[in-house]
Amino acid sequence: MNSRVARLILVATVVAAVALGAGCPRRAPEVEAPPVVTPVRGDTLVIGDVAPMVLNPILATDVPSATINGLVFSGLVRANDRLEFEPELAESWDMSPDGLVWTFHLRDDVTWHDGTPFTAEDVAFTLERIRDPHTITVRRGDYEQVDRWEVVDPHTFRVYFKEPFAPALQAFSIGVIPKHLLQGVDINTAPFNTNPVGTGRFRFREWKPDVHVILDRNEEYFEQVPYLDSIAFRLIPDDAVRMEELAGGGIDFAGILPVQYARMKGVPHLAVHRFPALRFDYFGWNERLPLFDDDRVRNALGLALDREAIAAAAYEGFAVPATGPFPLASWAIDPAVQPLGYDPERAKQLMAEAGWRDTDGDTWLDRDGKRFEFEFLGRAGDPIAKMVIELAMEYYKAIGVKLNPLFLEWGDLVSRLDPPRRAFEAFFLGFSVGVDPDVHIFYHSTQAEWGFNDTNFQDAEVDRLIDEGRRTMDFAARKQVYYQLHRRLHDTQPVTFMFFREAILGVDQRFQGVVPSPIGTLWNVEHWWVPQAQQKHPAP
Amino acid sequence: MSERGRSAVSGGSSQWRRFGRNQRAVVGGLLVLAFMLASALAPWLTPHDPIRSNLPRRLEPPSWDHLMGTDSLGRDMFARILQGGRISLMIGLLAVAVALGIGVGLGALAGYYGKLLDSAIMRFVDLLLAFPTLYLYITLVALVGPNIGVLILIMGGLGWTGMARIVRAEFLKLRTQDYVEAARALGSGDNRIIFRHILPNAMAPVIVATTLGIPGMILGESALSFLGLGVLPPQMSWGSLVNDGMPFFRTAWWLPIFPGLAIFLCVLSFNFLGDGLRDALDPRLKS
Amino acid sequence: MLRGYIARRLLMTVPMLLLISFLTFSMMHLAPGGLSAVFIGARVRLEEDRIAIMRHYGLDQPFHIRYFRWLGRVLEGDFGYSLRFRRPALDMIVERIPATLQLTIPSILVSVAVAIPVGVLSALRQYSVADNLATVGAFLFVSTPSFFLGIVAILIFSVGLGWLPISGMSTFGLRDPTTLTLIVDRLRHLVIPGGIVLGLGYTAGLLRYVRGSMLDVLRQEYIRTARAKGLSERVVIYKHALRNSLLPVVTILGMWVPYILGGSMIAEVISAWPGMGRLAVDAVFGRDYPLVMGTLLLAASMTLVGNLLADVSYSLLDPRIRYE
Repeated sequence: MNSRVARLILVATVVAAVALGAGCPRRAPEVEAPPVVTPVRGDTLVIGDVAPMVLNPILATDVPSATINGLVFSGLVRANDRLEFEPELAESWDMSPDGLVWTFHLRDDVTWHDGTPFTAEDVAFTLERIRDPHTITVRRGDYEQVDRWEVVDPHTFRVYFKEPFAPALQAFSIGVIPKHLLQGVDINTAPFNTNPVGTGRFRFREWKPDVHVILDRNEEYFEQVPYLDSIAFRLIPDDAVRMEELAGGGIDFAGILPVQYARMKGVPHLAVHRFPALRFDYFGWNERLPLFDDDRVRNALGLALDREAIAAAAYEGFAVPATGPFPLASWAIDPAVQPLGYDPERAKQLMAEAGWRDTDGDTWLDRDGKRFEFEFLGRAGDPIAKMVIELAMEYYKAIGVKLNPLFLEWGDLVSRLDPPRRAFEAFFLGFSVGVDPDVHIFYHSTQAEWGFNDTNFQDAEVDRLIDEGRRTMDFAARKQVYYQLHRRLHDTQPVTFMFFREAILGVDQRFQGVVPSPIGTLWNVEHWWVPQAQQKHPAP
Repeated sequence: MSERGRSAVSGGSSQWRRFGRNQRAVVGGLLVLAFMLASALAPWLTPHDPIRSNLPRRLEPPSWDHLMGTDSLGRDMFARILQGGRISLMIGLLAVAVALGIGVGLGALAGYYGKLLDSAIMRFVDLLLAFPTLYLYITLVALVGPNIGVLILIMGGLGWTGMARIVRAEFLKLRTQDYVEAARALGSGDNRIIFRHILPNAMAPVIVATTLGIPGMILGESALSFLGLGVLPPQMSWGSLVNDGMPFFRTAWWLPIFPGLAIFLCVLSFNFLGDGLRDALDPRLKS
Repeated sequence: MLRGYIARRLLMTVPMLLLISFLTFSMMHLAPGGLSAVFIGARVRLEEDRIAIMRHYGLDQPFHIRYFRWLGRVLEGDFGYSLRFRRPALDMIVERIPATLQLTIPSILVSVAVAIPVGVLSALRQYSVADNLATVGAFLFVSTPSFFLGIVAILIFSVGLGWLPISGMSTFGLRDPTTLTLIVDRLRHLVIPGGIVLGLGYTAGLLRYVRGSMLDVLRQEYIRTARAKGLSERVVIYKHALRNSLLPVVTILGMWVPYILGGSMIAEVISAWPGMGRLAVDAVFGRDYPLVMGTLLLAASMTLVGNLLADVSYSLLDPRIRYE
């Protein structure tokens, strides 16, 4: 169930990660396979997943779509498993000394899956569509700093920024869409979105709704042509059933629930991998309310929780207490920052300093005759969220704080957090973050009204560091800015950073060359192969 | 006709004898009684707290101390099933009560007054029956947000159509009976005729439908829980307990199995009881 | 008279369909978490985007105008676009119909084929061992939550014994398929969702009904008369009793009409069956209103039409019906 939940949570919270999915990197696995073995072609990788929604990288917001889009489309650049950007459709790029003008030199040997050559016009078209207010996309905000662009020649594309923008490469990792197929079409409802044509490693074959999506190897791919004939996504909604399919060999690749880790380790044909995910789980407090508009209160709400115990129980140990918004794999994380400890006495003391005491002897804290009580939203159908919230209820009760849980379906939950409603008091959610540590949309004060700063966090110092991080082009200097930002976020607790999760993945043993990575284990799937004798599916 | 109805509510001896000879019905009745008692006495039947976590003892298999094992937060499953039973039974009983109120009211109106009112009410029944039940449940619960009150109102508010049909049929049959005509001739008002003369005689099928309605509501709640729209913590129902246990089916079987068995047994008991009541009160009524 | 009845029933259906559409629409638009609050499964960051989307979906208009516009479009076959899949809702619904029918029709047919003979025999041999077995069996199956039954069946028959596939409608990448192996493969996939999750419940319910109905008829005056006249037991039972006892069964089958097209949410989710039930669950949970309205509206309208046909055929079958 965890994987579905994780996916759904991702759906809404992310912009960056999905854009990233559009450009999975590839590199021959370094540690794998003794050199005597030569990879051979053939076989199909069958992935178990929930249904994708839109196979168009500029429209998709859900992770299953992003996974498929990442195979069918390519970006100008892509992230690699060290979380750095490297060339993809762009062979190289350069930046003017003031950081305002970026020039991308595109490959001239790329064709769309229908045979049409790929050119800079396609890149311009992609940007145009994203910026067109008619296009229903959540991506537009990533390009707010873009002033204009020009097609210098068919293989040179130039972008002018309003101010220096260090996270620019992340924006250009989005999958490029074909102008010749989408021009003059309403992109929001184009049949293209269920029958996509890209430049990626795999080409789209068919999508049988609620049954499967099948991709075939792109023989014309401009780098390593995949060994696998096809990748099929079997769409299985129930988590427990998907797990049984994985154990039974009906699918070759799927995320695994923490409670099933030990059991899956014992399945002989499965290789089970665990690795840190690019996300953090957190408690958000609506700081528009007097209840939460105090650093001391938010610190107390963090100190009241025994995160180690919660992680051990609710996540079966597949999570560690989080220190901030940067995932463990990120270069921006300052290793010196320690997670808030478990200190209920200190929590009570901080609450008292903020004026919250039990004056009427009912065991609940109160101030000016009002009890410290709030409605706490979680996602329905997520067993981990349920356990975390049930435990938090107890920990908060111990310091006299009353948490009233409410579990909502995903769409409903998001609609209550979203502007302009912001109809919530507190919630438990996960954020998937991109490769670039820019957290402008999450914690910058300007993002409180319409952005992802749902909780209305306002701190001048955090604003300043975020802006500086965006402007600083030098990597070492930028890293220092984020170290400072990490410490400041830890002190002010814009949200209660709860956990970094580990992802668990099961892959059939017959696949060679698998290198799990936080950016998506399919990142190097074109290098995967299956020895002839073990191949299961004949060529289509 | 009227004789049958009258004696049914006053507990005529032949009906009781018929009921007593029906072993299934007696077993069902006793089990229903046992479930009710267990729910009423839940806090005294186990020393364990159904809500408070006990992390060091999580996921323990059944033992003497924890008869049905412990859950993922170390809570005693037996205590939770007792507590969940209280909620499940309460939802079942109250939802049926809501359905009973609406169904008897509208059924009586339709059957007694007939004509346009009857048509209007029965067409409304058709309308509700046109939607697959679970579609309506999940749409409404998802829209309004799940809590015990909402579940009761939605399941009760949609589950009255069968009751209305039964009551209407009885009223159609009874309103032309001699004793009703006589009462009317003696100047009894409509209200008096409906409540004093017809309704008491229509009680037998209503009692049967009520008894058989409760298990339907319990199953409905469990289906909603399976789809993630069940009772909210800290409360629990059998449905939500099964749903919480689903991911553990292969690793801690006692989490889904025991509440699943509880639903099964309780629903079965009500069905046995209801079926026995039907046979006893009116052997001519169809299943 | 009969023609008048049919005409009246037909006429009644039109306002009923309108009411269904109104109920469906207002449910979506007036509920607290309704359409005006949510319109897309993603988060929109810029205010102008939000306004554009509101306008795009006509949400800036008052309720009654929205209803009539929507109704007008629906009558033209335009159910709007799924908010999340960005495809015409009607297309998405229509493409689920074949899979749904492949699930529901066989399970209903098998249920009828099993329940009627077993129910009749049960009634003829009332209180025999066989009758008790059938009755208790029926009780057991109607008393088990179907999702529980489904998961247990998958664990026993698919995972434990390996007799049946775990999920899906057909085996992915079946080797060298022939028509026969394809059909067998389909049938094997049908057993758990169609046979166990849906079929057992249908069978159990119908069996109880047939048995009761048969017992009822056997006690009737005309059966006794027929017997008294010395007609053979075969003739009495098959010619007189059976026919009359099966008439009310048509009513029960009529009650199942919503499920023929609506599919089964539980069976389809558990077995990853690509039908209407799963689409509806997905739509509700994703707050995909055009899709929710489409599934509700279509299932309900088809039911009304189905009921109409059932009533009419019933009145043709049984001349005793009064056309009130």
